[in-house]
Amino acid sequence: MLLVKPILVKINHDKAQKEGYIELKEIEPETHKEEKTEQPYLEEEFDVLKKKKKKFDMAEVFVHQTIDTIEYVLGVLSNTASYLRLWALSLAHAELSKVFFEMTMGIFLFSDSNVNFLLVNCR
Amino acid sequence: MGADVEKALEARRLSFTYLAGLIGRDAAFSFERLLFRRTRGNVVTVMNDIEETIESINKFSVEKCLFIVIFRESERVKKSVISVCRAFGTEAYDVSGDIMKEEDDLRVQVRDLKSLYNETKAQIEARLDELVKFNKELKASPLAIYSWLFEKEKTLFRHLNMFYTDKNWLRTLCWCPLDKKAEVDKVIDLLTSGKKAQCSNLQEVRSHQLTPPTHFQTNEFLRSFQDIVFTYGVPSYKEADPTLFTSISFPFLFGIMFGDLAHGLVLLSFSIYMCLRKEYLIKSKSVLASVLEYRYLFLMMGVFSSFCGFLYNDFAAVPMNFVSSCYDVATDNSAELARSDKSCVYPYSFDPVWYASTNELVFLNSFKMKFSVIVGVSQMILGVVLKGINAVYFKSPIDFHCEFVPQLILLVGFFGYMNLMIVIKWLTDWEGNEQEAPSIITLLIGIPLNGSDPGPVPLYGSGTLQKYVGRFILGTCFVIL
Repeated sequence: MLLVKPILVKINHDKAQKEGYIELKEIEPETHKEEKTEQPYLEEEFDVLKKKKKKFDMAEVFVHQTIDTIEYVLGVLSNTASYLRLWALSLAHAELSKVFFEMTMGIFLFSDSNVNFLLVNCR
Repeated sequence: MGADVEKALEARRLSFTYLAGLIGRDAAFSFERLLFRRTRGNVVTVMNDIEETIESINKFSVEKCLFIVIFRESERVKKSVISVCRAFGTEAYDVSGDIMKEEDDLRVQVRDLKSLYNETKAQIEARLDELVKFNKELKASPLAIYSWLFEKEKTLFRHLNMFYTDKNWLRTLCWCPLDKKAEVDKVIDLLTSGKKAQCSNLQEVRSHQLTPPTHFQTNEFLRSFQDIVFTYGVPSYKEADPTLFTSISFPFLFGIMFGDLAHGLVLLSFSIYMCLRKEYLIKSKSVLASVLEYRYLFLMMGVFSSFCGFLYNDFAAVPMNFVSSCYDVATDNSAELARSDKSCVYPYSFDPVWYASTNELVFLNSFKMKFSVIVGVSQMILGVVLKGINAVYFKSPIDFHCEFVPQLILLVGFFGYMNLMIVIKWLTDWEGNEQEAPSIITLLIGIPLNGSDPGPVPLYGSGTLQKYVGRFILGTCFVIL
């Protein structure tokens, strides 16, 4: 991912550029004219359709890939650990219900003496 | 003194003018000073604070002073005093003559003004009532019709602004799903038939480098889950949409966290009520109206919470005892309970005896942590596989071989191996040497740091297999990156 992808991207880009030059030479005048008259007015009117040329920078691809790799590795580790929140929340829920039960019904059910019973009920 | 002054005044034909009025207490000082300067010291001002606060029309209570300006009779001075008073926003009243008449005049003026005010107010209210009144023929109040009209005009002009004007024609670009193109053309024909307006059908722009916006086809059920997916990121054009998987996995993870049958059933019944009584709730404009959008989300969450509550054997912190426990629940509270039958396995969920035991938390924590991590790693593998499917669909071998494959190998190799170790540990019988059972965390950390040294009791097989598997995984991870 880190090393192989930039090399492959560069090879692809070179191939595309070479093929681009060949295409212009090989095209016949008629079909070329047809391509042009199909929608030239649209490109002049709407800026958003104009074709933009992108500069290819090898260093940029490398940096991009490094960041991607580091991001993925750290992401895998941290996201896997973050699944422990499933445990944490279920623990919190269970403990809260247990304490609630003990405080409300528990006093009633688990007390040993009769005095306690009287105290709770005849207030 | 009075008679002498009067006689002197008579003799010299002097007369004084007295102008009175009210001024606010904060402006009083500057008012006095300005009067003095303007009239070149020819006036005398007497100020007297008024005790009670006066309420103005605007319901502000102001503290005012009463002032009297005395000067020798002169039109010029009177004019400048009155203009200064006006500048400060008060009126000066001539009290040199008959005060009672002035007072009567003022009272009449106040009464007239009050009645004018009330009349105007009543007129305005009547007009407003007229606007809001429901008109049976038009089925709406005039106000509603106006606001609808303005809304329509505003929308029309907002959309017209998006067009590119060129003499008589308006042109624009728009996105349209391919399968809806015929429908749009039909509507255009319908609208322009028989009218003077001309509108062309949609013409496709073939060559462009723009990415189309993504069109999501959702139904009532998936819409809540779609919103959840959007908070993480909107899938771009033609990418795999994880919403369908989310509709099950999100409520399931919620259920694992909730894990209580009693509360789960409450949630379930609440959501069933919302799903069945949707129209009634909308009509009666209840408080629940805003939650109605997510009723299917609540329904799924209720189902899965009840299910997980059933699995955790937890009904509001009370375990359910449908099937008798596998342990001898002795009445003498012994420290360690014995099993009635060695091969007894509780048919579903946790044995209720756990909730009465002292090592309940140790066991449950360990189980829940391992279970969460298993579920988590599976979901992450699903995510990475979706990415691989994207790479296959867009026919990009670079993405497939250089991103998907290494990512999958890393994930499965490291954390998948961890899951495997967890399952192996669960399936082995540690009877006898419970103290020496290897900790998963120790083993995992041992892979990069320790050469995956298996420790006193190996997890599976003999120690050597474990060592080699660990080292192989470490090497692969390094190479694959």
